[in-house]
Amino acid sequence: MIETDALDRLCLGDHACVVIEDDETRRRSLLTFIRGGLRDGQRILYYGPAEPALTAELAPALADDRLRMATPQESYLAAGRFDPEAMMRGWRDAAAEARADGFRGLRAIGDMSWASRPVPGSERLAWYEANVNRVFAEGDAMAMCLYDRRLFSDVDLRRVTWSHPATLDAGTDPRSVPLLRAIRTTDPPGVILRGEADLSNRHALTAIMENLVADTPSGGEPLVVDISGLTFLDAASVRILTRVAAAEVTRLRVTGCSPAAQRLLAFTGAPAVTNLSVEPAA
Amino acid sequence: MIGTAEFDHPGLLYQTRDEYLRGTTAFVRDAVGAGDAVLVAVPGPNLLLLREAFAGLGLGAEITFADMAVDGRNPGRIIPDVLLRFAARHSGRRVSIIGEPIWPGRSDVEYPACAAHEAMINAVFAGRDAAILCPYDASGLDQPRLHDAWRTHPVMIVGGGRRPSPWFADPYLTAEAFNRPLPPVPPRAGVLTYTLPSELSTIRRFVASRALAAGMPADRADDLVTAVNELAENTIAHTTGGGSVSVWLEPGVLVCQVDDSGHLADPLAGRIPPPPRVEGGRGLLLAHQLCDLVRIHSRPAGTSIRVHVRR
Repeated sequence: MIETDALDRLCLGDHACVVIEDDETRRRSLLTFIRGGLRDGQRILYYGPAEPALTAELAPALADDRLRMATPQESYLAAGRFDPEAMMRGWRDAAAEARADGFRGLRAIGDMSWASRPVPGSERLAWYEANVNRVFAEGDAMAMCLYDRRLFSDVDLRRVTWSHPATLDAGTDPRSVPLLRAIRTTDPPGVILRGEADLSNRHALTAIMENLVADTPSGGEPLVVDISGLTFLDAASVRILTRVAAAEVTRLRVTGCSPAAQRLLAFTGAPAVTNLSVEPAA
Repeated sequence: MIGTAEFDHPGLLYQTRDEYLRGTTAFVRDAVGAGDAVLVAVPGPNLLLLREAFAGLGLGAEITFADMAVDGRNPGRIIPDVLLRFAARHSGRRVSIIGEPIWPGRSDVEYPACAAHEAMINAVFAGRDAAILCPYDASGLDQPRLHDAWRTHPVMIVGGGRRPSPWFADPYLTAEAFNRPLPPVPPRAGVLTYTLPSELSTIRRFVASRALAAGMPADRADDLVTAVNELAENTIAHTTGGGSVSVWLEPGVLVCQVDDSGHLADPLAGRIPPPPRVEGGRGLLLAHQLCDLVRIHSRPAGTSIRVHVRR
């Protein structure tokens, strides 16, 4: 049984995968997340099947446009197929619109059950879930993706959960939510990583880091990856950081490195990467 | 350096200090004379002895010294960190190394990893232009361990003479003979099972809290957590089932064991650094790096990996 209260620990920038086991968990996840958005003054977008059971509670929010609901056919599959790039543009636009409408950011909810059926484009789902982190890392939007255990195979679930920085499933310790948070910065240009980077969110970190240069206009300044708030990173995560620098497109400064992180960076060959500087925590 | 060059891997059985000095001096004199890069990696007291002896002969400046009881405390680290690193630093030159990985103080838990190491040197250095002389203290080591030296070395030096070993066999088969069951996990151990990637964070908390409760300094606790996390990630990434982590205290060390349903068939796993551009394959290598001992027992139905970290 997952602890839906942990969803209250999420904030703008987060992208959480919630693996639901039954209808009751689904209902509680939805209500917790929506109430949080109403409390925080955010625009809430729900893409999923109609929710007649919740309509009474949600009617006021729907009436004044704090909450918008759309079916998968009207959202994920509006183009007649799943188009990941169009979805990513859509979230970015919706976040900007929410700001323009006076909301404190966008809270998105995606019920991904549609992806358990054969739909053109759904083979790119894991890619989408990893790359959509680049949108949320801008810090204007947050998202909860609902995956129903009863509809997806273990292999498929694994592939999509690894693409989320944070996952709530039967194994999650609520104190570890969200496991990883990535927020891009403009001054200095780069990204702040917080929490823990491991196998469970490796594809999310990979997508954020591999696109850091493309996503962060730097004007030739070195990019700064601030890991002072990262309490754990595994060997593969360290490799991901060094690989970006080794691609030799830009200089990379990894700042706030704990002694453990410095030892790992040394082990994975960071000292040999000329474009990389490893800077200890102050 | 890989090619048709001859790799020489003699074991030196010594009874006395004089015999030790004679055997090692002859080896080093030849090596320095031939212009080889020379490394002497032997445990503490012997290191002191050889350092003085070779300095007295005017050979000290030509030799790199290392304390095997420190650098090779974890025998799984000797191939990547001591031998291959030295060879890489002197790439293009023949290397001659005195390596003494087995001494009377090696415990029964450590020993199979040491003997497997001796066997695998033959595979790793096959075809390389190198010599590794391994001294064995014949007055301090028991008969089974001395007999194992004959199994892991193609040539033995006894009483000053070289004798081909009739017991030397394929290094992989010999290493498999040291793939021995681990002593049982004691009932007092704390145990946590896992199947999902999301449980890795819980495993790390569990190991960290046990390490800190045992009085381990924070940076060593971090190293242990990192090592165990890599082993548990291997379970999740490479096996279909879950695994378990057990943690307990033994005199002087904190012990963690990861059990899962995988099969680790290669005795060199974790003992050879992958090429820089290859992703993955570093978890076990890192565990060897961070821990004072890594013992592996693997069979088709499952693998147990036990690590020791000094408290």
